[in-house]
Amino acid sequence: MLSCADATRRVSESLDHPLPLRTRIGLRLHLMMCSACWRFSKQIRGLERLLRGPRKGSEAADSTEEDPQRLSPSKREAIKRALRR
Amino acid sequence: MEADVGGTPPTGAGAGLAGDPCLWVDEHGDALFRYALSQLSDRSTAEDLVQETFVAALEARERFRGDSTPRTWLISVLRHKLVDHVRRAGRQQIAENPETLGAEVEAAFNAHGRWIERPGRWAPEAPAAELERKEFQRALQTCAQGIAGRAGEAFTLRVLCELSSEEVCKVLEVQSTNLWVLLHRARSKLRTCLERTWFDRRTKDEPLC
Ligand SMILES: [Zn+2]
Repeated sequence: MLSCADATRRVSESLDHPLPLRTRIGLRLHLMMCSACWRFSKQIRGLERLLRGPRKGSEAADSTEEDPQRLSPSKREAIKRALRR
Repeated sequence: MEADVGGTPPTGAGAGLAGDPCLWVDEHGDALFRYALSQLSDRSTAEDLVQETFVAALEARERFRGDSTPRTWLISVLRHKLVDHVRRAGRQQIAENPETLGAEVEAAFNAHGRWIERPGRWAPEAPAAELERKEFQRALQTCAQGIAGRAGEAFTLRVLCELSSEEVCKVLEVQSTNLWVLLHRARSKLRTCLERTWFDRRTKDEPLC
């Protein structure tokens, strides 16, 4: 059976490219039997979703609320002015 | 978007990076900023480099070939500026590669590939209460920013800048198998960091594998 070290590596790889069918089946079997790796899988997926997630909505809403992960509105305008020149 | 490699002069639309450059700022500005910030941790320098990137991209837009996405191209331009900036500032090279991170991930497993310290019993969810949620987002971002070296850079490009893994390979000039290793390290590191700094690990259960 797949070791936990290999299983976690494959969990991560599955987020970046489609795994071959055999690998996928082996991984699924491991995750069904191993609560530690199952948690690892849920947790890294969830954390990535949370890192990507909330920004999506705020971008659409274009809220004036200061988001530390976004360009400040004043700089955004300054860049646009520089590009219009 | 069709790549126009031929002789069409770059008169706005029709060039590889078509359209109003101001729209690029709305579409890619935050992604570029997040990348710059992850490498510099100084907001105003990061913002200035993003501006320089857009200006340089506007001047060089006819060189955009369309063999990568506009965002990837912009990020490559920014990466050169980051490397230059870091070099000028006489600090560590961008993307220097301390292998300490690898050691840390490997240390999660014993020689037989079994967990030494199993992941805690927590669900990756943000708290419902507004104030606590902000605190959580900060903890999450701090952990993401704290991923060192190339693994951190790869993770930023993949997740915060939302590039595909193929595009990240182009920007970092690495093979995809190497990229997967870097991203696995980054995710493991992020998970451990959040577990330690936010989620309680009061519950551990019996070893299964
Ligand atoms: Zn396992």
